[in-house]
Amino acid sequence: MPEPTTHEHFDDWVAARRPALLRTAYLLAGNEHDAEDLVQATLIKVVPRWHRIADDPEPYVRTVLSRESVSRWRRRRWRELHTDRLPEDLRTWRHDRDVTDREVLRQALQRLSPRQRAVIVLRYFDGLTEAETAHALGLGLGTVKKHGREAMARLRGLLGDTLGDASRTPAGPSAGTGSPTPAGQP
Amino acid sequence: MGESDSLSDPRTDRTMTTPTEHSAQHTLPGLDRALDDLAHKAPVGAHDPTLFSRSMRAHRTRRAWTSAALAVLVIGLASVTGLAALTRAPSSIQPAGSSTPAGLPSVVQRVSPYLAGTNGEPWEAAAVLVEAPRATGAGALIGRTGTGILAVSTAGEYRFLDLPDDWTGADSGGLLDLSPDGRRVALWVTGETSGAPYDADQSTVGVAVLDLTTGAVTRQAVDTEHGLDPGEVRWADDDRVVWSYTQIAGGPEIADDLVQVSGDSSGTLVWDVDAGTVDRISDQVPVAVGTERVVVQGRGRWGTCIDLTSGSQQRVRTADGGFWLGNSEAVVLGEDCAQGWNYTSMLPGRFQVTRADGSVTTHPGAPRLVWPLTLTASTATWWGPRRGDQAATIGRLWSVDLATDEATEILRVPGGRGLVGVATDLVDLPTIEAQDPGSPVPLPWFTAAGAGVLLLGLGLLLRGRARARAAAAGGTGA
Repeated sequence: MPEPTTHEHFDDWVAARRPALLRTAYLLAGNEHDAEDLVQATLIKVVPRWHRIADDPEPYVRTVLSRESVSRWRRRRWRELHTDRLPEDLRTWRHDRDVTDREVLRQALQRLSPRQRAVIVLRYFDGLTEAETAHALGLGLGTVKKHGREAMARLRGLLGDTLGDASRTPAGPSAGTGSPTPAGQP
Repeated sequence: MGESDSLSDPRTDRTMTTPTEHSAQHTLPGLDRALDDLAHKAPVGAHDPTLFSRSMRAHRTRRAWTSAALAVLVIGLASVTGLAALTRAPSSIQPAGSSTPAGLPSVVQRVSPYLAGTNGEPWEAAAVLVEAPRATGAGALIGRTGTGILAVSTAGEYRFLDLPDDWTGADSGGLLDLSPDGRRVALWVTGETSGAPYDADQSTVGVAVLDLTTGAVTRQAVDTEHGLDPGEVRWADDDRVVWSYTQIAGGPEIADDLVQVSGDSSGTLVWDVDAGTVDRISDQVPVAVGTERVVVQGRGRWGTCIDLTSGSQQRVRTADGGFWLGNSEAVVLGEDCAQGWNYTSMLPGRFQVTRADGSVTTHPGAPRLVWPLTLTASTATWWGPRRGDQAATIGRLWSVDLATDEATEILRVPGGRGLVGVATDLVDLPTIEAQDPGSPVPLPWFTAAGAGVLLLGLGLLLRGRARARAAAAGGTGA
């Protein structure tokens, strides 16, 4: 059987990993459109190096994805308008718990700084260690710890007991599996 | 990343704590599960099979434009820099041979402030030194000028005079003097003091001689605790410098009170530059310096004229009658210890000669003078404005017949520029036509060209990025 070309290898890998990339990107970007853009931009950036990373593209792609999410936010922040508080009705709106909890979490993530959000997603969704997170983001270990602490404190303030309720009432496909590994990991 | 597959396992070699090992204080129970739940809202789009080729095209486009931008920057900046260096390099010097007689130029022309300097390299003897606007340092890039010293060589070449870095500077009393043959310049220099310096940046510690023909600098330092208050530094002939100073008696705290706290005076010192010897010939300071003669301060209206060759001394009446207004540059010492000076004021005034026997003659018909330069029994030369012109917009060097007050113009300096020095050996020789000083391209032009190249390079880079984006989006990117 002939060796696949670089192009073919890339296509195969993207076909297999694109959904996962989009999930991470969605958490980083906060909406579907930006998530697709983020993945697209990431793949465009990694293609020229594909022949060098083909053996193990995952870490490099993840690094580019997370750094691109931060730099893209910097480029567009001037046209974004943030609010410091979640809409009150989202905190109290309970008749569709699954939809509401997701929306509350999505908006809470958007209240974090890009680096804080990237640390949270890489640590608690992709399951990276602090050292791996620091490497992926190009930050020092101490900076990652600081961002992680601050992000957690802010999320606690924003979410209150929302996640506690969610953990008692599983809503997602991976909920209730009892797995100790982060949800985003295989 | 969020889904299982067999391509990679990012958790290998993990050494740090996992989120589940965090203390309750730093974790948010259920966060990982909630993130996973939220991530399922992510879009599920199909893979674009053209992405790879589009990405490669975008990459090639970006690389091509970046290379073009770098080439423009490197070649452009190198060209601008090289051109600037070439156009500012001094023209090749034609050594003054027998066919090129030495002499003073009849006119010192205006020159570009970007004219080349001597830069400490061997040059030629200078016939005349005048002040002129000069652009140096970073300010030259934007056309800022200061006061420089323009030299015209004895062969008629123009060049700015670059003095040693430790020259005290004219603003700090650092007068300088051109030797009679124009080969050397004597000046005051700064340096280290043994105690707290009077001026941390500019404490004068001695004199130096710059040989223009070799570029060599010879220094004569003085042991000083706080620095020196410069007195005279004048050439008595082509080899000997007469100088004097006063030791400053305190550090920076006396900066505004120099007169009251001045320390010991050096008396009159004679430095034979070639022999390397310094002799103190008098306890008194010099009041007039001429060819191989010095008049030192005496009591009242009288001083002592000392012959530097024979050492003989002669009691003379001083030119100012004991009321000294300026420094020895205001007085010229001629043959037989006669002294000529401007007796009316420090402004352009009348020339008066005081002979050793006390007789005094004035010359009301001659042009007014600012600075007397030579004096013989029959003639004198001095620097002054043109006849009847108090404003001195055009300075002239006059040769005056003392018997008739008839004046002949030797040298003209348009533009109100001050005279710094003249090679007095040349004043009796025929003047020469100086060379064309040239018109170096102003440095700001090169600055603008460099900025243009940078902008062009930046434009190419930005254009390349835009093309690459277009290629990545599916365009040709060409």
